[in-house]
Amino acid sequence: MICLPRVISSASRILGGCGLLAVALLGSEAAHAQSSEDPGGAVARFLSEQRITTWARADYYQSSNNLDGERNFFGGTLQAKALPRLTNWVDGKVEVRLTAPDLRDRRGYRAQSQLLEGYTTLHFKHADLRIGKQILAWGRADGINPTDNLTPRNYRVLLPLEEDQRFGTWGARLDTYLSQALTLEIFASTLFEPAQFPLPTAGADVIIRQPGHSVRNGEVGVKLNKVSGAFDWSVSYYHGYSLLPTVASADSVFQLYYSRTEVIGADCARNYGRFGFRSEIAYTLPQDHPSADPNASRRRLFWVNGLDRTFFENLNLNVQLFLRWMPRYQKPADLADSKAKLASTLNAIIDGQEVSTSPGITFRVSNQWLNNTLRAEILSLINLARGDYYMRPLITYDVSDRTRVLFGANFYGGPRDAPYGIQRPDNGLFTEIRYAL
Amino acid sequence: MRTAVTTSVRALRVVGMALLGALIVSMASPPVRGTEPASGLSARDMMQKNFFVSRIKSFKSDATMVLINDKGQTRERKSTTYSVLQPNGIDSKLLVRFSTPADIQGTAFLQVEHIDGDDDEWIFLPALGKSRRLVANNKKDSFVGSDFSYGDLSLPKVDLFEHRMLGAQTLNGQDCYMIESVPKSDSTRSDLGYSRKVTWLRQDNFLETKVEYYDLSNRLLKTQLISNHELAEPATGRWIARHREMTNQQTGHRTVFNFDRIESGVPIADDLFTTRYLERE
Repeated sequence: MICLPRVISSASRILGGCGLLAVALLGSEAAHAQSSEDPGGAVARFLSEQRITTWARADYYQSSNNLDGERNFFGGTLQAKALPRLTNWVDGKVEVRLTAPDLRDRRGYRAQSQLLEGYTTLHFKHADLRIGKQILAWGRADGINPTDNLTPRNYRVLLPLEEDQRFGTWGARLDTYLSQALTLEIFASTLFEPAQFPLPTAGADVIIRQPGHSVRNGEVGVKLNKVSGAFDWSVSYYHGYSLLPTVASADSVFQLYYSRTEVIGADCARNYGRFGFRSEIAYTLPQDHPSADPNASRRRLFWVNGLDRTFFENLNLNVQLFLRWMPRYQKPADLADSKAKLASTLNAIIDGQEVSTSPGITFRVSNQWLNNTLRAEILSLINLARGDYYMRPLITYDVSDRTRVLFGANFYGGPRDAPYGIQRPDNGLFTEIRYAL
Repeated sequence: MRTAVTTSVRALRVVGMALLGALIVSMASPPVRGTEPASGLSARDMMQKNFFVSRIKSFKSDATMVLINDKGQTRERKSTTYSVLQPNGIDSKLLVRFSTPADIQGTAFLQVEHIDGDDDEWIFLPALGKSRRLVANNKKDSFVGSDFSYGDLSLPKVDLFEHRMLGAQTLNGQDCYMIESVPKSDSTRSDLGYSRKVTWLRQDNFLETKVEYYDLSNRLLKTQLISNHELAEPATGRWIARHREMTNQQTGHRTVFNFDRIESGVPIADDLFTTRYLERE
């Protein structure tokens, strides 16, 4: 019996690989097409009208982003994006990426292609319907978004930008425009895909129970969004699965599952003079309780508030305070059962919730020079409860309109059993040169 | 006899004083043709006309902006702009979408102007996958890395400045008035980043053809040359300049802005200026 979700999953990889090569070659041709006389020129012109862009990227990563101790990755990526307009009311997007993160071809770092997004959008008078693999980015806070529960990230990807981590989810999205300011967004999917991130399991055996692709295991998100005037806001509801796994039990084998969950969320953005204010909050209600960790089934709140301001011409300062609160939290150390204690400790690291009230701060300072061709930024996240932190300095220079170079580093610090401290083995430098074909 | 001589001397004295006065006045004036416009308009009135002459009811355009550094290296930005004038006849709604280079393709900017307050602005970054409210830019901030500031592109209120007629000159075959504008308040000086500017306005339609901008130390900072004026709305006498070139005299960097295509007076639906269209790559 053919399992439709598996077919779709396989098809997306095949499509990603073949489509990438075709789009990259033809897109490059389109970008440089001069002739309108020959059939090849007409094809190239058509492709140009479909707005195809392709990039070649070469990267060096000092660490693996995978807590496995592997070092020194020289890799290459080919990425292509097309925005075809089929008619006045039908258009789409296809974005594919072929990544070879390790030219030494070490196990676990083999080349792979991925369809990042591939969807068609139908535009009606008061609604848009988008069907296919798509990224949905919810939340108005900067960088950490409690309401962003629909789109997974690959935290292990050896590419430097935050947006490189995102990849799409198969589903359907309907945006209904109730007025110029008010939009009702509904998203539904039966093909759950979790986030990919390094598990702090130190090489032990891991069994992950992932929801099957079915209507019964479907997920739905609803958001009412208002954008106009001086104040933007949204309220949202998500019913589906947590993108990050929960440890059910941990002894010789780690058993993980993806928790059925509901999230009620809200966010807003407003300016006060030269200051921009953003706030985002999510209340999470886990729906199932197979974990030995009692905290896994407990309700929790995640709240982010921030201000940003630009000084002089380009110096931007963005500071956010965040708070994770679980009112009935039990400290892992207080649990009698050893399996529960270990599971709870690991979940605390994965969720960043190691005490009942877990505050933190994010800090981003950036500046630009040379007519915005040279940019520098430092991003930092600090969990105040344990003092663990993440810092990422990044310098970007546009050598030309086609060529960009980046230099950066990932620094993790703090206690080795804290969410960022445990990632200290992944400290390292990275660099990329990127060329638009 | 003595009375006639006295009268003559007195007359000569009056004439002499008048001539001396005229000589003093002429030496104090700038070395240009006349300072009193034949139209009888004040400098402030002319700048007011200039403020409104390019307020076009609606237009759609494709534009190319070329940034050239002091070594001659160029960068090119292509964009499509939609603009409508709001009912007050002063504020505009603006949607700008960039198509090149590749790294900013699909990036879009939405602005709802408020002459009496901060503008509402949003940006859509395709890489981010969502739109984001911006803090209204300080008017002196550079527009997408060009030599144009936001205040250069979106003119501030005329009465924030003291305007003074400097005279008249012929520039590129056009008779122009020269008007100096000085910010009235320190906050306006600080917001714009200029201690003063000098504008050459065409005498026939009050369009600017040249503008000099002086920094807060009163040194020449930038020069803008404007040309290829086109009558966009004959019924209302509204014009658009198809070519603008801004040169930063202190760094040698310059930006050349050209409208490749303009359609004015086209019906543009108001709901184009919403995040629905902002996020449509």
